[in-house]
Amino acid sequence: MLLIMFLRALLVLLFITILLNPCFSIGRTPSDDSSFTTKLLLSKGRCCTEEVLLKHTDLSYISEVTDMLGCSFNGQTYREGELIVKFREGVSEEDIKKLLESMNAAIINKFARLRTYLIKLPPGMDVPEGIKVFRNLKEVEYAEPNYIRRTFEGD
Amino acid sequence: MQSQTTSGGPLKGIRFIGLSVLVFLIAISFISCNEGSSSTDRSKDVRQPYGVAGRDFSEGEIIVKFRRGIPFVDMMKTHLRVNARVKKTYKHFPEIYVARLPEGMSIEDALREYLRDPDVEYAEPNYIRRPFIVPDDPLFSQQWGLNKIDAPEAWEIINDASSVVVAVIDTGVDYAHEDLSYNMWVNPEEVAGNDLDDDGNGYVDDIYGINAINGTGDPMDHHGHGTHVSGIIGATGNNGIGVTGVNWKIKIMALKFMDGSGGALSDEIECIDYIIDMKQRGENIKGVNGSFGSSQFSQAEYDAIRLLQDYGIIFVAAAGNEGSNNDSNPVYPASYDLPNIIAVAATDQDDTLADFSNYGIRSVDLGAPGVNILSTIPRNGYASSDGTSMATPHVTGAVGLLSAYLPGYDYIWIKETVLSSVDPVSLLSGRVLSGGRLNAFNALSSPGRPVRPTGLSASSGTQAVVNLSWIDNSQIEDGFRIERKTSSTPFIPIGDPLSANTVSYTDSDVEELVEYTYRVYAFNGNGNSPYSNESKVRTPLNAPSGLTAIPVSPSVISLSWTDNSSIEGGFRIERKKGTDPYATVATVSSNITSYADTGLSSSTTYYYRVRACKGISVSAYSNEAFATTPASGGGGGCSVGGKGAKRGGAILYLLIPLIPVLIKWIERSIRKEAL
Repeated sequence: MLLIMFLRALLVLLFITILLNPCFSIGRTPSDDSSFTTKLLLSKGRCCTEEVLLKHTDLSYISEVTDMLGCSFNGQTYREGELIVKFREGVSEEDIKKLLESMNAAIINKFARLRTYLIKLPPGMDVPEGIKVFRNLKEVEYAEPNYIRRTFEGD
Repeated sequence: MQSQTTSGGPLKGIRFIGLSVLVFLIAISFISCNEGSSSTDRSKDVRQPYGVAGRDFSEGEIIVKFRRGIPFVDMMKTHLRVNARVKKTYKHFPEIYVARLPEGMSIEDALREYLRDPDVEYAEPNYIRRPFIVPDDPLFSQQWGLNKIDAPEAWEIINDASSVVVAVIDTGVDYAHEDLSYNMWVNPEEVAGNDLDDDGNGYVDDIYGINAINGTGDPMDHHGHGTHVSGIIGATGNNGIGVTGVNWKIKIMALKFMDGSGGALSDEIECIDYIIDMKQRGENIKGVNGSFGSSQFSQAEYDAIRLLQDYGIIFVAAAGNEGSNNDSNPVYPASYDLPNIIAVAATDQDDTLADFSNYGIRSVDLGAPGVNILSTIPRNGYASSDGTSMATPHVTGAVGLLSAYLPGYDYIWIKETVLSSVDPVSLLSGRVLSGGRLNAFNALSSPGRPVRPTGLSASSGTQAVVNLSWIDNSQIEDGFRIERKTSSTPFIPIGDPLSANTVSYTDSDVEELVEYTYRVYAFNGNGNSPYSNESKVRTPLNAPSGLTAIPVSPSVISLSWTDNSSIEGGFRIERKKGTDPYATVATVSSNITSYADTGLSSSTTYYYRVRACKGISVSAYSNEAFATTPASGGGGGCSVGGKGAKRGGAILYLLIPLIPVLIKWIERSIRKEAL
């Protein structure tokens, strides 16, 4: 029951926010159990939005949450401007760095035990284009979007 | 309440039959009617000892039940023969005895001895029942899921898995929660709060795990999902606070890659990278909880979970909440075909698949409670939630308990134990590979059995022979056993046990026009898997074969065939000419294997086929045979003579079909003589 109420409140909020089309907003609705359903929509960097839903009695919590938020992805299947790339065995990190530099791309993160890198695409290059470019490189075993995984709570 | 007899028997099905016989007998002893023959018939089929593999029975004692109406003297003679002493009798169950065995006789031998006697209906170990352990956590009574998976019975065996680490890759964990802090994994090489990367792994103060989103050592949960999941695995049990987890004590490693309700794969992979680093450093990580997913296949994610497999770590993955079939619409990571993944669907209090839960007979392994699940949320809170996200940590928790109880088991054995010990649920049988819902007690009390086979299919062709095929889902089976039933006989094993990795069988020992139902199970030294699906087939009437057509005159073709059926009522002969459709020309009675088709046109090609029939049932057709009648000879002048000749000829021709019969008769007499 609580969950349904919560979801309903959420839907209403979502509708309102869509109507108002804000780039940055914090909404709050009291729910029947004296706690609050809180929805944050905030915008950072290249106008990607993060949506956080909270049900809590303590509103000071919100500020903590806003601090924790990274630039993220609402309704997207992958993160813009990034690729996960695995290089072939024998390709040194030096080679990789040189290669990326020449393309105006960069390493964001490296997963040493998997020979896999998170790559920042050059400005102006979108993910489908990036995939094409990287898959054509002889040094690359595979390149794929940085997909989003979601929790399986509620329905 | 406990739904199973205790401890692992070698033959679970038999145990179940034994239990139902007991229940049935108790029932009839109250109703006092004169049946019991039906139940005794059933137990006759399975007269071998069972239930002796477990530990929980009194040494040197067994319980024996004699059939109804056996004279007291005969019952005493049986005890004497075994050299056992009667330890206890019951006023209202006069056929039941507790027998004290002679010194040195094993329970197994005694059971075998008693079961040899036809007067004995059943004999079983004197099992020990114990009170279930109920923890003092105040909210425990609301945790229906733990009772459902028989956690209280499991805790009687083990409730402390503090030797085991499970990693929760999620939205983080509120590691300061009153009901979780005690069960958090703590990085032994890191000094808290000194702003240094003491262990040199790239993270400063990673005491409980990491936050892969911002690359820090602080996996605090600001969303709630990961804290909820963690409480299901291991909220501290019996501490007088809040809820309890499947494990009262365990070590939870907190790995944060999602905020809001989603997270990027790159961050998830960073978490797995961290797990492998910690495993290499000697942490006893046995399981990973993945209550997340989406529809895109990722090679990098696959590789990462594949690497976990190399380190013997099980990845328990949520099947997803779309209410769809993962076999056709995969959800990753649950749907990767990797042996260290366990994919989990959500069930409710009635063991029904939750309407939101994904399923898949090939790609989803088992069900676990996932509706209205009470657990921990951040800031010392408790709340109920729904989802395959909630079902998954029940299984991860069971993996933790099992790993602590059976440290010698590798990930394959742990996984197969979880899948083979489910409570079979008919509603799940066609929906998940194991066909059931998690049962932690069954897993602990009879571990090491193989996963059940699935996809059993029985089929027949034109002859009464049944071809069976199935999918082998186990890597630890010693073999398979097939059981068959008809409307008049219960399931009984057929043939010899089949060797490991067998996936097909031909049952030739069948009768025509009978409906058979088959099921198959895998077995090994630890016991049997649950049964596969059941597959029904109705055997056909055996089709005749070897049809030949010989023209014997311009108007007669002689047919003969082989009768393959032993129950046919007759044969139906069909004929066609050119492109005409086939039409029945005659029906002959049973065991007739020839026919002379007369009144044909000359110089014409006729096609024939034959089928057996019985009542409204017909067999498949025989082969097709054809023959061309010769041209009619002679001119008009000798019509009378011709006619006469024809008539004489026709009589001769009518004898021709008897030739094969004659040959057969001769053959038979020769054979008889040879004997």
